[in-house]
Amino acid sequence: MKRSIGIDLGTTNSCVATIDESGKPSIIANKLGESTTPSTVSLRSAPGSNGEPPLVGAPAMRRATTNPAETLYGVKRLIGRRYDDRSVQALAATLPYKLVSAANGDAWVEVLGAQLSPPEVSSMVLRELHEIAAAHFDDTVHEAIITVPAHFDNAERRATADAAEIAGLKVRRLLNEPTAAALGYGAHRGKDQRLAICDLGGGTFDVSIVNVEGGIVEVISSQGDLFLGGDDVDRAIMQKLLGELRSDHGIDLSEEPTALQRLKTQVVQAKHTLSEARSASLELLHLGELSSGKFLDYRRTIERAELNDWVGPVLARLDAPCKEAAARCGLSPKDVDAIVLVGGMTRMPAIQSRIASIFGRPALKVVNPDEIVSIGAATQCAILDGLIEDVVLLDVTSQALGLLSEDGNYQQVIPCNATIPTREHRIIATSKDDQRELFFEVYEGGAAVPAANRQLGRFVCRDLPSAPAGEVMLLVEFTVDVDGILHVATSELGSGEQRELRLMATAGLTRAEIRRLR
Amino acid sequence: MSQDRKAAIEDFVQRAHKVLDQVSYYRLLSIPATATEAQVRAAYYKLAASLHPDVHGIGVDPAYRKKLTAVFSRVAEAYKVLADSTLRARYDRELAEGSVRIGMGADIKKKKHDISDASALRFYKLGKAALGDGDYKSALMNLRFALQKEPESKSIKAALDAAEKGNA
Repeated sequence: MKRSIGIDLGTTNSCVATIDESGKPSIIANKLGESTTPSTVSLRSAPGSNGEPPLVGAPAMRRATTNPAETLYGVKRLIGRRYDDRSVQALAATLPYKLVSAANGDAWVEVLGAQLSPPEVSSMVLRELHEIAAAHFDDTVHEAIITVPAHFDNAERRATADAAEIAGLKVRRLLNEPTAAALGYGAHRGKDQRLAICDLGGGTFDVSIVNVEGGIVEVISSQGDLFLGGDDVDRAIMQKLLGELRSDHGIDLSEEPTALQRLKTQVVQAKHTLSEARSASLELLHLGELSSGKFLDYRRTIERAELNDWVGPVLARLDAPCKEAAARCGLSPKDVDAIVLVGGMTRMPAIQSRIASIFGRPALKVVNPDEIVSIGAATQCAILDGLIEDVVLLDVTSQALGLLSEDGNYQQVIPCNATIPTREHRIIATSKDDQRELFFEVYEGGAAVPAANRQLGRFVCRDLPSAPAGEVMLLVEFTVDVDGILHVATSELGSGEQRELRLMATAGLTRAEIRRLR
Repeated sequence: MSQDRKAAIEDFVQRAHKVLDQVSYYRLLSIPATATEAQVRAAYYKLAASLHPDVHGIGVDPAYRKKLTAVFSRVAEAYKVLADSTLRARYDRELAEGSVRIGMGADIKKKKHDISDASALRFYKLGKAALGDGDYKSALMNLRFALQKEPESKSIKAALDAAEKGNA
């Protein structure tokens, strides 16, 4: 039997699921018997030094306190990004590990004197999940479907696919998380309706409006806040408590990474406890030095009402993406038939009630909000294998794609939110007599001018035939495949000579680098 | 999937691909110009359930897959436009002027052609689109018509040259 798995490669936690012969999905528990594995990697020796292998998951988390600079978490927020990106710079200030700029300008991490690309770090998490699945099957894993945020651009998708390849996984498809969540929730089996999928994870908040009708699952719009998530809740609590420590005890922990990490660990635990209980207690012995020279044994009880008060500004930011996602398909939030909550942070009661008040109805009960994305990815395996019939997913592109020709004319080729797969062409021509080379550039982003968008690549077509200006024409074809990755091909009109072009890496890893890392 | 249904879908793809730049979104979806939004969606979902490469694109040859993707993406575009009242109103205006695709008129204008005659422009657009699809016979025919209407146009002559080279 073919062994297929679905992977939710999360910012904070990851999860793997599979399907049985009848196409029924189930979670594969890790070695500790847990359904999710922290997306944390801790390096014990320099990468490539053949020393002790890296730790992944809970054992890696435990090293976060003792070896913060070698313990990498939240790398998904760096994957496919540039070092000088505003968001990366903001993140760098809050991370206990070091970020550096790679030769091509990508954001990399530096650990134990060696530089690592984010896809390499993610590949370590994927390798662990791969091993969990192989141990479960006692067999080889043949292929995987990996989920990515709907807003991921071309570079981020490519980098995720690269990470899987380094981990030795054959990627059948990259699937958008909200689409996976709709499937994981079982939308394809239910009645025809319009769902709002609200996914609040560690780092991002995504809202998608999904239409379900006769086996067709169509994502009609997606909106998100890239910088809103559980981390913001943690930060709000931390800031409050650090402020109290300063004012009540005269202790400043901002330059004490180990103490900060200890406090953070308990804050996260307390946050989880408060989703179930009315209050949670922190206890940290010898947290910091008092002016008297003695050490403070810190004890603090947090009430749920207090927490809700502190995170008020975070909650307020949930409104805009929900309203915008509905408005983009001509709806008011109240027109949505049902709400599905995804991601660990949606366990927080204040978040549930805020979302309920935006849409004017309570969310559906989902037993395990952290599992449904990977269950959905496994379900998609079953659909592609024909184990589940008459279900079709209609997914959309996350970013507009455009073409800048030599004469400075910029045109959009594929709009944002186009249903994939999609295929479109433009014709460009020489502008001078006897011009033997023609270049064009490909951009991603919705702005009308290329400078405000992100350049994906620059192509040069050489050895064109000698002819008067305008007579040599090239057909440039853009294809965005079912996994949202762009392919560009050109052919010379007339001669029909094909030139398949790989989108040249102005960012990301090269093929040679990926092979070396495997 | 049954052999019959597969053959029927293949037949649709081959036929639709040939006339992709000549038929309106309404004809492509096989719906009347008066169709409601719900009818537009139902027609699209029915086609998508047959044409989506996840259903129909597995194990087909690459050349056919390209055609399938082109047809599927145009069908999806037709739905996006016709299911949105603002876009649909704009499309209906452009369709009355002879443009079967939304925004194509604007695109050609940006490309700085030198054609002023409306019917020459229409045949020029059809010819360029056929050229894009590698359908040189249809490109030649349309561009020759265009040149008859406006014999001095350099844009038409250049496109015609390319079509002749391709056809040779």
